[in-house]
Amino acid sequence: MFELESELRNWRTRVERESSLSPRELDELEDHLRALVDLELELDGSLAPPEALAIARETLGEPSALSREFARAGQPRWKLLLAGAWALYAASLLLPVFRLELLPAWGLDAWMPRGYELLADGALLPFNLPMLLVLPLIWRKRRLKGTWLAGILGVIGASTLGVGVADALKGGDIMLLPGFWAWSASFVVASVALWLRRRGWASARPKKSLA
Amino acid sequence: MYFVVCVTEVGDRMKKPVYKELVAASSRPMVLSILAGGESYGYEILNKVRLLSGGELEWSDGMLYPVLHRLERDGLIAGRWELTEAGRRRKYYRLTVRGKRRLATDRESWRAVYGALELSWGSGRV
Repeated sequence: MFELESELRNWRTRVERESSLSPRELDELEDHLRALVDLELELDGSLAPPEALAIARETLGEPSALSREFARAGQPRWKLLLAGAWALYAASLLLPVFRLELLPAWGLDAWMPRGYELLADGALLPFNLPMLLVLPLIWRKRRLKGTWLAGILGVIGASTLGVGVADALKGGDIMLLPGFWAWSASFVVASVALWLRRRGWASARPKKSLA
Repeated sequence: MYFVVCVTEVGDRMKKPVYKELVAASSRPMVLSILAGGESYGYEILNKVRLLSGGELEWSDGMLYPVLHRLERDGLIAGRWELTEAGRRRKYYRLTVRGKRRLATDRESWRAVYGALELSWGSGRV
């Protein structure tokens, strides 16, 4: 037996699988599809619900075509921000960075390590790992809510920036190390991007009913 | 009978849909103009476009939402989710102050283009 609700759920699952649309975008398309089904049934009383749904689905378009239309409207802000955060992070790997235990021994003028030299450093792994985890989000859809990751990135970014500012206020040499500032800032920017993504990705929750 | 067929054929030829570049260019002022008349949602906006253009502006159903989202991102319209009486989630859009300003600019631009074309066609060169 045909059940419209279950067929609509199937449609949604299929579009979700075959496109890069967010749940919120799907909510809007689902509402449109329902309106189209209603219209078809209203226009032709002899039409059966499965036929009405088939016409409505065709009118709305294939998942790949929908995905293309949405992509044409431009990238969401969170994605651009996340790409920016990663660009900053990548740049920090090529710039001179700060390493507490090295400064007194080597001196800034004598040797300034670059970010990539410290990337494999075990001590920095907990800092770098969250940044590596967010990288796939730039290219492909992932069912990652990212709230905890946004929190971790935010804490790392804020605390390292705090250390930097405190050192700078004391007249420390950290001011001279652009790699450190780019590295710290990349975490903050990535955190903001994930918060924005979470907001745009979440399914819509209407606050009140229309009278 | 032959005359009716000829008229219909000529009518069909004349009723060629507006080409897609023009449809795309006019999408922003069209949506802003519709929302200037009050809050609305995707399906309703699409129907209004068809009604206003007599079906000559061919907007695909899937094309509308990216346009709406881009306008929302640019701050020209604002959306909010509501529950309909049927218990469905629906996103309603309204024009923002910035959108009203942009609509005024767009209106001037389109009138200038239309006016120039009308004058050009009226001068007998076309």
